[in-house]
Amino acid sequence: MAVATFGGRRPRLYRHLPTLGPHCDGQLADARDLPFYLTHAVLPWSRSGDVLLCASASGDDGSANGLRLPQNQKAWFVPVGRAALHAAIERRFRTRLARNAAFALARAEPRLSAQRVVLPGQAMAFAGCVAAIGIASVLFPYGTAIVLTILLGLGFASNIVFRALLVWIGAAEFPHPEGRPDADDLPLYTVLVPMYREANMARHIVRSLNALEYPRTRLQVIFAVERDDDETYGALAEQRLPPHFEIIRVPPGTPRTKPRACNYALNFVRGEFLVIYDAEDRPEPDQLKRSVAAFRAAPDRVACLQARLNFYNRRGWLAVMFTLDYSLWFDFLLSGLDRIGVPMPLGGTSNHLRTSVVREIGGWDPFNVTEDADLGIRLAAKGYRVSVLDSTTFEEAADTLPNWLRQRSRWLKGYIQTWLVHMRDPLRLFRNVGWKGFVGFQLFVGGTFVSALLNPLLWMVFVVSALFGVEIFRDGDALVVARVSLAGLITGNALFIYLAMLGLVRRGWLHFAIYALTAPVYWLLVSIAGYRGLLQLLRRPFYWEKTHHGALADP
Amino acid sequence: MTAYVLAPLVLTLIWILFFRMLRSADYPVPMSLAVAFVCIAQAGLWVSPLSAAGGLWFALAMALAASSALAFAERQDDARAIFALGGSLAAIQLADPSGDIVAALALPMLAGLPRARFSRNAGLLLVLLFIPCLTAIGMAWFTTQTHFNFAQWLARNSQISAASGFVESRSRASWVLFLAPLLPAIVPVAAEFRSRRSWSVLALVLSVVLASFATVLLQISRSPVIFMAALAPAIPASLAVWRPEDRRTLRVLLPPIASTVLSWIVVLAEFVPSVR
Repeated sequence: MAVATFGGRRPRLYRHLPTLGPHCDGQLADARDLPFYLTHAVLPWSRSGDVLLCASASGDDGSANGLRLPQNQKAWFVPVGRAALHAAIERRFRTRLARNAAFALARAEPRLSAQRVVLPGQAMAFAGCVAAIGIASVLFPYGTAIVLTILLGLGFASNIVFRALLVWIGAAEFPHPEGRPDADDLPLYTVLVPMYREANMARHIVRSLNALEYPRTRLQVIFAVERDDDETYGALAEQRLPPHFEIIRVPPGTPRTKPRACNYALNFVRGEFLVIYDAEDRPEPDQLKRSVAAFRAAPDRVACLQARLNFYNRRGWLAVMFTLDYSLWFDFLLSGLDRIGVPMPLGGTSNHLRTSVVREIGGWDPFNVTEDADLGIRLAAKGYRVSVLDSTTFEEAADTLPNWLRQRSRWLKGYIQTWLVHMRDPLRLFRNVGWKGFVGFQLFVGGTFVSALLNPLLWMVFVVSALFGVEIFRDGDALVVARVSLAGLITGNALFIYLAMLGLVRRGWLHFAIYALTAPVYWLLVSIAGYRGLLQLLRRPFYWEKTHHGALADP
Repeated sequence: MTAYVLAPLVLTLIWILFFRMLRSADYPVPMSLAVAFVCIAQAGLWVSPLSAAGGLWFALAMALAASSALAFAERQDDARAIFALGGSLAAIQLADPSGDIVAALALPMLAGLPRARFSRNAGLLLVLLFIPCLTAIGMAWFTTQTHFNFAQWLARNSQISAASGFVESRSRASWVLFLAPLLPAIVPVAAEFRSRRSWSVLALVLSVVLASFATVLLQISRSPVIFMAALAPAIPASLAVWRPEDRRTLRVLLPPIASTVLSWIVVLAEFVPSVR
């Protein structure tokens, strides 16, 4: 084999040559050239004498420079549609692509993959801590309880104070780039929508994506649908998809997660920028243009822009509380993180990314059930920045308790996974993200699940003291424990309530402020989800609990 | 920390807030510096640390409240302004025993609810009320449980106690006279009477004045000098409301100069008879 350079001549597309046969000769394509085939949208198809017929979907004369050819072999390039070419590549390399989608990161950087929940060193450290606390509890029961309570109380308090600080910082006006790029200046943009058992959302998402104000010739829309999910595939196919829409079938495999589907689809992404949307999303129509303008105005090391998320179904207590939660998170907390340069755990959707950077860092971790949060931290650890995009994607809030619990459990499980992965080598993380990033990571990612797990313990002390009076703790030093717990609970919940109210200010949704008074109940539900997530991490670490959508797909 | 260190520190903070208030109203730096210096020379601010009163803390909290009330009047969708306003009202509650009354009176007036749905206005009021209410509840609980009143403790421990009793009011008229330094502020406030910012300044002044009368009615022992100090921020705040054509002309300086001179005349005439 030799690399074809065509004697310095640029190869040409022969548009009037014999059409390709229906079957691609799989033996002609070399697995080592797979990245080349994907990048240049070309695939050796069949041989006719000394001529190699290649399918080409690039429409670019230079597409075949570098194609590996046998000696004295000529290559003819026959134009085909991109969907047909992708289907052919998928057929030929499905197994390899699927394997890469699942294990590429774990192979390349095993320490950054959640494939192993804890490393032996981490397990030993945890066991050591538990043993030390156990021994101390036996020898000095009250002293240990006081020290633990004060430590946990301090952790709880610092988490809340950090959030209040982020709200203050995030409330400042952001200098967002003015104006929109010219239509001629818009790059190719890929919209990636992973879907699984969401046939009922097909019409909604197609309509939302069709509403995007972006030239169709500069847009690539990919639906990543699991191969065994014929229902969703069928529903999408029924929508009379425009030519820039493609459906990629993701081969079955484990772990069956959204990040694995995204990794698989990443092979077919052509855009300079890439955004992930969920099936129930409704992005603001000019979001892609805003993203391009923001990327153009930002330094190269800004690899990702996180759009704000909120909900269109703000009805019912749970959905309204979720709205309060999201408004605070995306309108203030993430903006605050952005401002002070602390690693930002990305939200599940509307992450606008530089495609080259995603490929460079190995895509998403398919074993992490909050792969987006993990990606944000990994980007920061590699020296990239994540910023907030001043545009909103509206989605559907899980408004029934079982559905909400499923979703929140997964998020908290994913946060624990993310924390465990990045704390495998704390020194390395410290070196990579700096002291501010390191502390911010502990408080924001660690603090999110620790405070969820800690909250019920404080409530237990409160309930006992409310039922029997604080005097019940008067024995020995237990009163100190009770007082510290109560102070933590009361101030913590008061601040949670206030921050939840403030979160509504930016959108002018103050008519929901009264709901914030019930935030302690909501945070108790978060705690239940936290414990559920923790148990699931121990029993089924990679299990992706699906959130059901579609109740209000077309309100 | 002794009052010899604390008093200048607090005065400096108040001066910074005056300066910021003026700068945010687009006064040029030299003019903002000059006005802030004239305003900081108000008699109330200098005499209250010498009295048995904690007026300086009250003045600092009022300066914070005035600054955040102006910001809130400008933008009601600004979380920072809402947080700062609630926080500064809580600071007023902590700074002086009459602070609860001031906050309770000021808040509904400051809210200046927009013409919006009832539920939205109720929500805005709820957000604004939250910190002051929580502070009041917290202070009440703390006082009942430990018999410790933070505001009284602050009043007792943050001034030059050796000079206690140095400033005494001579007659009941002092309860009206301490308002005299506010007279020059009428000009700028009246010039912008219809603006929301103007109403914010008026609301704060009114609440302090009413609270001072309430302390007399309730027989809470408070010196009028304290309220004089607390009202000192009203002068730069009223200038921040004012939008004269040319903010570099010397006439901008007239109200603060007149106010400061008046404040010293009142203090020397009414409160420090032994000095004459």
